[in-house]
This record gives sequence, C-alpha cells and structure tokens, in this order.
Amino acid sequence: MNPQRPRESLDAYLDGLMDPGERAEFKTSAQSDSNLASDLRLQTQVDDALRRLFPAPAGDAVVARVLSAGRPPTPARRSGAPRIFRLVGLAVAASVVISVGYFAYETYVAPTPVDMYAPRSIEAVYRDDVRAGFKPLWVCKDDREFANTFRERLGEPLLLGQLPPALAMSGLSYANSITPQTVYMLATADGKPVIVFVDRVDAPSPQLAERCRLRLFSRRIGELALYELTPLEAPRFLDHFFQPPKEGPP
Amino acid sequence: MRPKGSAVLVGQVQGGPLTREEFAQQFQVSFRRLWLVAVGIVSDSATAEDVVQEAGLIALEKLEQFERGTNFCAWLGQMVRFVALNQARKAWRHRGAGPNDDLDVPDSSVDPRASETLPLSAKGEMEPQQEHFDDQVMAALAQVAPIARACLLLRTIEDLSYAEISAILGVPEGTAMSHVHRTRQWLRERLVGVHGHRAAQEPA
Repeated sequence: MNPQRPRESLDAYLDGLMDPGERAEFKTSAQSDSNLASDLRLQTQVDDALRRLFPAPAGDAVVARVLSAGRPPTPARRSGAPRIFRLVGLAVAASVVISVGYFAYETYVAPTPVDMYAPRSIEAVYRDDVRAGFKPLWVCKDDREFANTFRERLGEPLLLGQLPPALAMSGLSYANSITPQTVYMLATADGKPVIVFVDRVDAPSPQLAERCRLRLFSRRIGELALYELTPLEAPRFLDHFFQPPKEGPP
Repeated sequence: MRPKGSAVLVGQVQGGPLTREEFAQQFQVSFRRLWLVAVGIVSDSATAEDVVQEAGLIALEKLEQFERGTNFCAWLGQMVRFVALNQARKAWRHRGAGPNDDLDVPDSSVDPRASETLPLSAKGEMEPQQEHFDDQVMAALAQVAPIARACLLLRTIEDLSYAEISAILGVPEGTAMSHVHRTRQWLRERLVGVHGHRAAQEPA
C-alpha cells in the first residue's frame, strides 16, 4: 500500500489488485485513518446503490424478439449445379458484366452503403466517403460534444479552433481504419475534401500506397495522433486542433 | 473482490459462421454486459433494452463477419456502443442539452437535488434513507460522461477486469481504469458535499 497516496490504494483495494499482505495493511491503515475509512465506507455504499439501481434484465425476451425479427444469415454454400459449370458460367458472365457494368455503376448507380465495421485503409475510407457524397455520420452540436466524442472513444478530449474562411469542417465519423476506435473528421480546404483521422499514439501509423495521389501529414497532441489525408501540398487543419484544460467530471 | 474470468462462450473452433442457435446462446450469455454498456451510455433501462435489441438485429445480419474463437461480447459490444451513442445524441438534441464534460454547469435535466449535500451522522454513517441516497447516486452519475459511466457499471456490477472492459467498450485498458478511478472519486466528492465535509469526524 502506498501511504502517500491513499486514494490509489483505495482503488487497488476495490479492484482486488492487492496481495493478502497489502490487503491486511490497507485494512489496518483504514482503522487509524478516518478519512480513508470514510472513503471506503462511502464507496461501498455507492457500489451497493449501483447494484440496486441497475439490476440487469435476463434478456430472454430480447433474444427471442431478435431471432423472430431477424432474417437468417446468408448460407455459406449454395446447392445446385456442379462447381465447375458454375465457374465457367461465371467467367463468361463476368467478361460481359465487367465491361458494361463498371461503366454503368460508376456513372449511374448510387454507391452501396459502406460497412463501417469492416477494416478499411485510410485511403479506402477517403475514397468511399467521397463517392458517397462526403457526408459525416453526425454533426456535433457544440464544442463540448466534439471534445467528448474523442474523450469517450480515445480517452482524451480534442477541440478544433476557429477556422479561416477557406476551411470548413463537415462533421465526424467512425471507421475501423487505423484501429477499430478511429474517429475521423470530414472537412474541405479550398473546396477540396480533406479527412483528419484521429487515434491513440500507441496505434500503428497508417501508410499510403505508393501510387496514392493523396498526401498524409501527422501531428501528435497529448496521447492522440492526428493524420491529415489531403489532395493538397500541405496540411491545413492539423495546427487548428488543441486539447482543453483538464477539468470536470470523468 | 478479484475480477472474475469471462463467462462469455467463445464457441468451438469450426468452419463457417455461427448458426442462429449459437448466436442466440452467445447473445443470451453476453446480454447482461451488453445491457450495462447500453444503460451506461443512454442512462435509461427501457431504452437500453431497445438499444441491445437493435444491436442484436444488426449483429444477426452481419453474422458471417464474426470469426469463431474471437470475443463475441466485444464484437457485439461495438454495435451496442454505436447504437447507444446515436440514441443518446438524439436524446440530447431533443432536450436541447449535451453530454456533460464541465463541472461548472450541471446538466439541466439532472435532478436539482443533486447539488445538495448528503446528510451524515456524527458517527459518519449514512442516514437510513436508502432511497434518497440512491436518487443522489443516480443524479450524480447522470453528470458523468457515458463511456466513463459504462466502465464504472461494468466494473462494479459485473465485476469485469479492465482487460474485459477494454474489449467490450473499445477503449484502451488504461483508459478504462482511469475512467473507473476518476468516476469513483468524483462520485464520492459529490456525495459527501461541496464543503469538504468528512464523515468520520470523531466526536469530542
């Protein structure tokens, strides 16, 4: 137990991270330290209240409703003609479809909604979002919501300062990109789409493919790593990000 | 009070996606934790149940994406999180309020009694007003950020380890621990009162 930092000891005790000797020492200290004893007593009562306030339902009814409402998953194998005939047929059809369908798809067909849970490179996220109209998942109401989005997702808040006229922020989205926790901001600079990806500094740094025409710039703020993916020659948004002072409830 | 191991079934290592029966079994086993994630974010039991149901429907449609042998609860947990956060944002916009991240201005939807100090006897014991105390806890908890709240509930009620909380909520393990420790401290400070009154003031 650390006598200099009783609160840390209290958390370690509550989390069951002490060995028997440390637990005994902690209990002895609590008998003589009235403040520590008070905190322990209050925390125990808070924990009991939380258990009373949030009795989790059994879930049987919810599971049953999901199963009755959901469609069966797509079967992994199809029955029917022998596989070799299916492959030949597919090859013939594909040669026709590819030449005609690709042009038609690119020109006329609306983009298929992107599966945001599937892993995608940052280039793929950029390309998909541009094709889909470059629309964010949501627009934060104010700075508090903006900062809290990053705090909840990545453990630290982040804010964007006042932008000059040539720059505009559209909103935020999630992507399973750098990591499953990646948050990204859609924006425009001189009318051109720019995306700033944000993740933890201990996440692997994204890399661009050799033939990629976009440029990638990075900046670290606190424990967050920011990556600006842009068609422009220089980053335009990275310097406008900052972290608020550390205050307030968790 | 050691964290207990995961009770979530991970399924046998076989080829192909889960069957509907396997999905139902895993969903049932994981339900409590997923519900706690949802209620931590949306702060309402009935809405939390709806959130988990909606996430379950999404998961059932994407069942082929789940890899056998991996953490089903963590996989479904990210969908619960996504649905819950969207639901919470709609509620905030409807109320004209936002998620609290400042101590200075309490959420306008919070019970104003939350600012009152909790009455303590001279011996430092709680007055026998359990219902009032629970209301105070609920009101204080409403001011905590959703993910931090979810971390605390998973740790306190479900007794999950920080590694398990990290997997379900998609936050680093250190962040989950920090959320729990800071929230505990903040709740204690709110519930004792703003004047720094200490309960165990020994009588003269």
